[in-house]
Amino acid sequence: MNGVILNYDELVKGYWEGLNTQLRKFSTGYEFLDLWVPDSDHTSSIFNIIDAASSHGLNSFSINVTNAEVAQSLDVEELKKAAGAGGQVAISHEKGGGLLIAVTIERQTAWTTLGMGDVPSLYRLVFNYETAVGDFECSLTEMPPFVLAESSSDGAVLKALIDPSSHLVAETGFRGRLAPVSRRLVNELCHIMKGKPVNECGDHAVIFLEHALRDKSQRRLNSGITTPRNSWFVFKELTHLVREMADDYRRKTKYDDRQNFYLPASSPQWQRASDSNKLELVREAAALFCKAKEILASSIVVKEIVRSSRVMIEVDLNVWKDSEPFLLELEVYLRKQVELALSIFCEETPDLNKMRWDRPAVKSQVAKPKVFSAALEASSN
Amino acid sequence: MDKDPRYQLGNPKLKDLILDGTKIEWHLDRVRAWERGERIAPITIDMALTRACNYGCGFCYAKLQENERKSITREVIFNFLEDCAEIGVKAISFVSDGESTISPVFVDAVKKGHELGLSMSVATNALVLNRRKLEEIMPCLTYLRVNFSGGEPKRYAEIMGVPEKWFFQVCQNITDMMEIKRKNNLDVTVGMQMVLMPQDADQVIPLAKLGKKLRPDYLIIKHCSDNEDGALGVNYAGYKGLYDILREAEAYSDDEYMVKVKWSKIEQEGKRNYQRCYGAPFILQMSGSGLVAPCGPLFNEQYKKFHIGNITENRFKDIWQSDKYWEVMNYLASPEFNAQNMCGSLCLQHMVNEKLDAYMKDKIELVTPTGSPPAHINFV
Repeated sequence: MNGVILNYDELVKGYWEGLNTQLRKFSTGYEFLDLWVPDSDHTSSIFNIIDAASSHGLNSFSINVTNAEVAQSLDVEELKKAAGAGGQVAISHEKGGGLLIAVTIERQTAWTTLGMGDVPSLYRLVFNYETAVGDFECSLTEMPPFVLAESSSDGAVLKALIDPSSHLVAETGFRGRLAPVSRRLVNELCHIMKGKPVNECGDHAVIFLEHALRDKSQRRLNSGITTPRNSWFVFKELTHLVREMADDYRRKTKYDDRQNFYLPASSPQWQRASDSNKLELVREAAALFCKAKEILASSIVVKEIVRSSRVMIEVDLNVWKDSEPFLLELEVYLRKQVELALSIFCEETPDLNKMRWDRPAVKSQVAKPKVFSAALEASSN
Repeated sequence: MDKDPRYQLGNPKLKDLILDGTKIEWHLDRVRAWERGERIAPITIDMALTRACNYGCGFCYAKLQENERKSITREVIFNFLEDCAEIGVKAISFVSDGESTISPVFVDAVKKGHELGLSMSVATNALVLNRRKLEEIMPCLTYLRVNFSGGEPKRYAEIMGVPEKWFFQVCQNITDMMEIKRKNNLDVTVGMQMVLMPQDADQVIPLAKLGKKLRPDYLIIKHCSDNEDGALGVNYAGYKGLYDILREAEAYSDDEYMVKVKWSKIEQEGKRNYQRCYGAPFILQMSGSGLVAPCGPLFNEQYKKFHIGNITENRFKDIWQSDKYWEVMNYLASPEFNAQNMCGSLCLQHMVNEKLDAYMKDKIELVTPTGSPPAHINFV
């Protein structure tokens, strides 16, 4: 099976229900299906799903048809052609007469020649704005004592000047024939890498890139865990590019420590701020978060900030829907708006089992169960 | 494992036990599904039937895990076990957070899980596991582990916060376990476990000797976990000075009794070499209050942000299918989360995390292992 798994029967059922329950902003919940309308002919209907997904940039997904009657009505041979040349549709029979249709669409586009149409809408938002991270397109050259490490892929070259005493990436740059979208991606990547240890870049730079580019207001492409490997194919290519660069550095310096305990420091502004300023900043941001969520600001009370990073809060849980991870959203919001090092905590509940903390006095002379007592004494002699 | 003596008494053989490692590679179908971004059912769920405990161990991590108490009734646990079987959970361990054997639904829960085809296991102080209960549950269990952190009655009582006479009662119960196992030729593995605080090192050898007399299948000696603030005061550097004693304890192993030190964790001195937590979707932990949270160290109310639901209020399969469940799991795998500074030391998911993190960093390949499957395969 592949990344996204759609339950066809639920999708159709939900679609019909939605027509009666959603007045405006009608949607299936999957943005890549915004252009899809179910067809009374189920083969056409599934063809349309594959078309919609393909035009959205989704490379691989599966459609689970659980209803045996619907499954039987499908023209399986016709569906096998749905992925087009180079693509693949694998159909397997499931328990209860259902079918699992796994679709893989072969992309002809190289990651270096991406146009806006190739960008899944989940990652498109950032491309609508000018970059605020500076321009990293340049030809870095040797600059001792820094070590120049590089890697290439499809004509793009990534370079980094790395300080061999600290293994920190002092400068990054790229060059090559890159389409604007591809150039922007590598540029963002260079920005993420700059100033970080080379191991951190190899381990996590692309995870950060994927996270930064993703439009969080949209549903993920995967129903489970999203990683650079299972989202947009470009992230795999960039991961390869960064790790090759890190390997080049290791080869040139014989640096073989792969441990990574990198933790970014608090911003200088945050470090300089007084405790009361910090509290004020966080309270303001929390109020804005509530406003954005259209919830009373008093439903989140920021009590204090412990050790400059722990935001202690009280939450009125009656106001917030328990089905939403709003506290995680708040945490992300505070990090974005105020300071990266912040984490939120509710009040700790102490252990109510007094015995675990406050043990009873131990009596040394006690009755022993007869059988074991005898066995123990005999064996210890 | 090659150095471990072959165990001839029953099945599983001692050499097939993985006491210091992970079996995640034996579940590559689920790993691949996770990698593709599918919603996978946990392979193992570690949970408790209550938060309460009749012991008062000083090192008990559960005292840091307090959250709103709710009762796991017979109906709740039966519904839960049925949901687990339905969605594809393979094993349930009653280990974390509370002493499950003091719950009135304990015996029924073990039997029900077994009937449903789930692998079941228990870690317990074993005080209330009398012979009648043991006869009922042991045929249903994959393993039964007795928490036993002192080799001498007085020290056992001090370390575990109980009257000395309980030492003898539990020893008797272990003797009964082994008798029942032999008599009925059961597959269940019976073990003892010492949670070692460096200051209790005087008990390592007495316990290894005691185990040799009681004859469980194994004795495992492990580190003590602590939270990110070091609330339990575990001195990880202190373990280094105990290596000779620990090696001496391992030398008490014989053909039918293995003493094993969890070296992998002890040698790491409480440090993690990864930042993302990928393990929770594979090994989920649930509090004895019914709370569903990714792991034990996040049970306390202060980590409310990670709390997903409660099986006393909602069916587990609905909680598992919910967006909130997957939002929390995604958060742990995202750059927003850093296990190195946001978690306590060396959790249950640690080895799975380590393996999957290395895989995601292209440091290792994951391939289906060859050879015979290990014992307790569903307890990853």
